[in-house]
Amino acid sequence: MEFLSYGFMRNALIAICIITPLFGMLGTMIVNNRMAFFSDALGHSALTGMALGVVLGVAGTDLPMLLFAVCFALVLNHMKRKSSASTDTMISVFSSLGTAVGLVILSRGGNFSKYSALLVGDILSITGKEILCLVVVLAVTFLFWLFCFNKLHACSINKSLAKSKGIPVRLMEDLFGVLIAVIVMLSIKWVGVLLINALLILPVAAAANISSNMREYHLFSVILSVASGLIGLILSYYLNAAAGPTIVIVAAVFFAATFFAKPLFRS
Amino acid sequence: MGKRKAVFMSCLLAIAFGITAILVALAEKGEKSEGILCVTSFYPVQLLAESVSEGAEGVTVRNLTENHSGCIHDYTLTTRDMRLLSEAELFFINGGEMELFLEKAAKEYKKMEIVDTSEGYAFLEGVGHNHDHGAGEPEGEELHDHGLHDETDVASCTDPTHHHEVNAHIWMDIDGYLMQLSKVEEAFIKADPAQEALYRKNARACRAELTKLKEAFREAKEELSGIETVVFHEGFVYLLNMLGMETVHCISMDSDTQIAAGEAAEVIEECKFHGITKVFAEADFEETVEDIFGKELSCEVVVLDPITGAGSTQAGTEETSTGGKGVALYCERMRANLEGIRQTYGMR
Repeated sequence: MEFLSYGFMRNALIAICIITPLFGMLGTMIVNNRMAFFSDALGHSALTGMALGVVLGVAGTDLPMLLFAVCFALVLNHMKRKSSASTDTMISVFSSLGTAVGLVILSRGGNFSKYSALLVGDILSITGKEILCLVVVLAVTFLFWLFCFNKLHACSINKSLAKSKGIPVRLMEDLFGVLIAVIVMLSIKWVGVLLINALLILPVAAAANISSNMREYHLFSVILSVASGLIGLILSYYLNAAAGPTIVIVAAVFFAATFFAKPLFRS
Repeated sequence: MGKRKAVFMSCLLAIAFGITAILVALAEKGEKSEGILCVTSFYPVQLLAESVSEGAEGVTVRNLTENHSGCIHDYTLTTRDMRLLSEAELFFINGGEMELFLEKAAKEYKKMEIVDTSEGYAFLEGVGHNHDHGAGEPEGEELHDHGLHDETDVASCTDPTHHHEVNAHIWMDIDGYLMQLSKVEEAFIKADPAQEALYRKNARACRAELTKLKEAFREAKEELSGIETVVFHEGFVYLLNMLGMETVHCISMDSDTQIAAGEAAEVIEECKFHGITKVFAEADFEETVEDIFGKELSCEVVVLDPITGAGSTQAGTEETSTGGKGVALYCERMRANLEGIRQTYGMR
């Protein structure tokens, strides 16, 4: 346990213990609502949020990134409802635009290298204050999951049916969009634009391979997400590899294991 | 949950954590250095620290970015780096916003002495800054902007709303490197006063070598002064400034930098306007610069060595370093740069 003697590893370990169950829980809702591409688009929009912060001369880029992502999620939801184009197409349009605008502004004068750390993230530099912020987000996500999961799930199955049961479909979708936006933006600096979706989706996909009901689905997703995070972080320390990609590789191994074990659980 | 699933999950997790535990147990523990562990942020600072501490007992110099060639603006710390930093007593950085990855790490390691070797240096402005020429410029000059200030340092600007990006590549200016040498020397003496005489002696030897190198540049300045050119590395601005050459435009090339079409056109116009036939780039980007500008302008792309890593190609040759160490190696590579420039302009 030599790695625990370092402050940065203790912080990273605590952060992993918060982020991974958060991602495990959120991931199931994202996959249920067929919003995997939506969270990816939000991740890419972080570049534009950061660019806005730079242009406006705001001291930290966290707030502009967060505000932009919330607006981005709400506008995207609105356009999905109004447009006749398919959801995939709309998300793709927004994702491309979010990336391109960010790159244009941030690469002005050939300075994009300053921001390229956002692409792969750096969980080792997380501070105590930022961990506290993640704890709050975990609590909010847990409350949302506790009180809204069934309603959101009903919306994902059939919107008309959900409406007829008195569920505010639009509000639920917007609330969920905002929640994803907040979580993605708060964790993107630690996980990275390129990997955030992998961490959201891989444990859920692995859980889906062996689950036969919602309870199992959630439980396995959270367990596999936490296990990937812990093992990935420890391995990254001893292998001297970047933490985020190592965690993703471990999650992918779990996916492969459950994929091949799938026939064992066919009743 | 079915019993089979519970067993499967337990086995899966046991195997995964078991393999991790075995790997951890097998992993070699990092060698803990005795005495003073000095970490440098990147290559030019490493050369200084090695030279000043040469022969010192109990001093180990390690470079944080040893496998990274080029500048370190986009460097991300790995766990090995963080471990190294947590054990370091002295940490020499270049400064001038070169080590952006350190912002948070520095807060974590309050015990570590961070020595900003460029503190107090009057940096030139980075490439992001444009200015309009005022009165007194040659006819036609007011029609375009230059990409950087040639003579004015950043500190001279008094407008508080004007954000500057500094050109941090001061090791390419011998005076800047001499200043960095003094900072390294003083930091070693402060951390290890028992070996002060040795540090002073080593620093004196380095200073003598750098002064000789400066003299060689001063002699070449008489022949090269006033020549206008375009460079594709910010460090070359300092290098050519020492020779009295004027950099009319600088584009900072990076592995993830694409030259914007507008800027390429601007450089082409600048070159035509000033009659520039030779531009300077580092070896990694010679082909890119040749493709975009060489063919358009029929100008020669001259390769210079930015001295950002052990493997940089020497100017004017295809050979790498001949095996010199520390500041001696720096001087050798700077002399090769000087020779390359002189040959380019047909000097003897």
